[in-house]
Amino acid sequence: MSFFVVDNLSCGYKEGFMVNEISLNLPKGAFAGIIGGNGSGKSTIFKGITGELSLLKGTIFMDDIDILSLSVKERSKRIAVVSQFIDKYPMTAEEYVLMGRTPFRKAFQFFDTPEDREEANYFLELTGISHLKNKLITQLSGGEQQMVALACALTQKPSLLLLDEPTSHLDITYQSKIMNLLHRLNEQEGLTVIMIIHDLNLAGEYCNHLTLIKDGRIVIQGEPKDVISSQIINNVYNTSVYVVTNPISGKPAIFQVSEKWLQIKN
Amino acid sequence: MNKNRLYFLIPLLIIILSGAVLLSLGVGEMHLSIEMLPGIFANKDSMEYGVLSQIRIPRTLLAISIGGSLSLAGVILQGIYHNPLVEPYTLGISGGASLGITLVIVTGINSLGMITLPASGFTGALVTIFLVYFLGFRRGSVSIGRMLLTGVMISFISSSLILFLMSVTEVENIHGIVFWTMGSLNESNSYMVNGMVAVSIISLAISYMFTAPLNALRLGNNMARHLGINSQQVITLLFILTSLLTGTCIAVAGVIGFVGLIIPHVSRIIAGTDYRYLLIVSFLCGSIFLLLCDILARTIIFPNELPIGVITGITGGITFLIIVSQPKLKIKIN
Repeated sequence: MSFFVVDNLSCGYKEGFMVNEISLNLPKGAFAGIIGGNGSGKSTIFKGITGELSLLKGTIFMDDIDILSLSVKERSKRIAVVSQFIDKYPMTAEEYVLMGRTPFRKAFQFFDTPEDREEANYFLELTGISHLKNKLITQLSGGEQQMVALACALTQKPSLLLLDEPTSHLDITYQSKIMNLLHRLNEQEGLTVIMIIHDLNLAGEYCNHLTLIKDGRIVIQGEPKDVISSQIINNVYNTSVYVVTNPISGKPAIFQVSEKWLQIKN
Repeated sequence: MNKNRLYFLIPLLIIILSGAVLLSLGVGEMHLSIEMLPGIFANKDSMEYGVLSQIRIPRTLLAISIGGSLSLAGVILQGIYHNPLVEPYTLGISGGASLGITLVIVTGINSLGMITLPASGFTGALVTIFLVYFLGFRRGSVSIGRMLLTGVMISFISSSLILFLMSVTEVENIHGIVFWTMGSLNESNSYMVNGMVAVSIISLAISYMFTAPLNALRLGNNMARHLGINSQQVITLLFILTSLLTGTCIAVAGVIGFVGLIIPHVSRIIAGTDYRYLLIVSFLCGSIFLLLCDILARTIIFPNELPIGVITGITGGITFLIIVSQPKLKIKIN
């Protein structure tokens, strides 16, 4: 039941950083997280998948279609990307979300069709920002901007959604809002999600598949309970953590332990 | 941007343009008022008809098409380069064209008759476009910074070479060179005028095939890519379109600066950033601006005529400074 299969991917920058031998095999409806320290190669993998960087080696198949053989336009109907920040260009939230209809535009289509507006409004509603639709995105908070970017990506009607640290600069209200929404879309609509995520607690709580990266290579991948263990996280991040089980969800959660208490304990 | 305001704006601009056209047809050594125009057109043997058809109509058409074209080229270039200082001439095209024209004037080649100078200007522009393109698009990736720097350097080199040529040539040639590099809408060849009008309309139509890519590029090249736009290809095609358009304008009327820099900014302020409206608004504003500037150039030191580049530079520059100094109006570009 493979849906998204990355096989032995290598890509990177000339005479610089590279990611090597990246393989992923995700079923439809996966909620996958890519975790790892700063500079470990998470974003480079994303750039390889989105075509921003050309691959030196490896293949990427989605639904048995080689996505690298697709045109940029065809790819954008299958894969949508939410970047960490959105470019602050003075346009309204509705205009921004309507940009998500770009892949569906006909060559000489000048005006937005009623269908375009319907789709955009549906996702503005779904992401809970329809009351902001006439505001300029430059006037929105970071969390609201993230929701606009997500609504735009969903308007592309992708079967795979890539998110680059969607929660990293948000307060816990927006963190939960965005993760719960993605969870619902994942479970109800079968949207496959892959996100780069720094917050290991959120990763453990929401994702059903985690890939841990270090120095451009996969250290381990699998279910959160297998990836987030004290020993692995301590080694990869070179930080003292203590892993417990979330009493409500049964998912792994981590505590960071300060140097002082570590000394007292020992 | 309020859509209703935009539906109101475009007809308004067309009305202003029509007014400017009537003014342009009427003003000059022989004053013609609006009421006289139908009578003149009915009597094709009159001297008034000759003035209109031979001088004022071609000139008005040129002002409209060149003003619109330069402004259109500017708004597109600023969009694809995400840079508010780019204009058609920043890419060195005017330098190359001027150098071509100067070379021909200095060497006295006159093999093509009336179209010798336009042809040499266009050739100079084409050579520059190829240089900027191959140096800027090297290794298959657009480097905006490299391209701009290449263009600016080509401009410097050309103007130095022009100064060199001017310093070694006879005095009578210098007037021609100076007049060309400051621009003039005084073109009597009707093929050139009709050609310019056709090129400007075709370019506007072609640019409308790129509204979705241009709108997506507002969000950055990467985001545009995620939205299914082949940014690389779009930027290359639009670069070629705007370069050829600019080259044609220079070949017909010489270097008319500032229109392609200032009018796009003014258009963004009044029409917002959506290219579906911005392209036509920019074209219309450019037409109106250049037509009014030409009327000034013709009348201000009557019976003599000022180079139109002087008028566009002074009025455009001052208008722009006033606009920029308004804290409420933010220059809307990346």
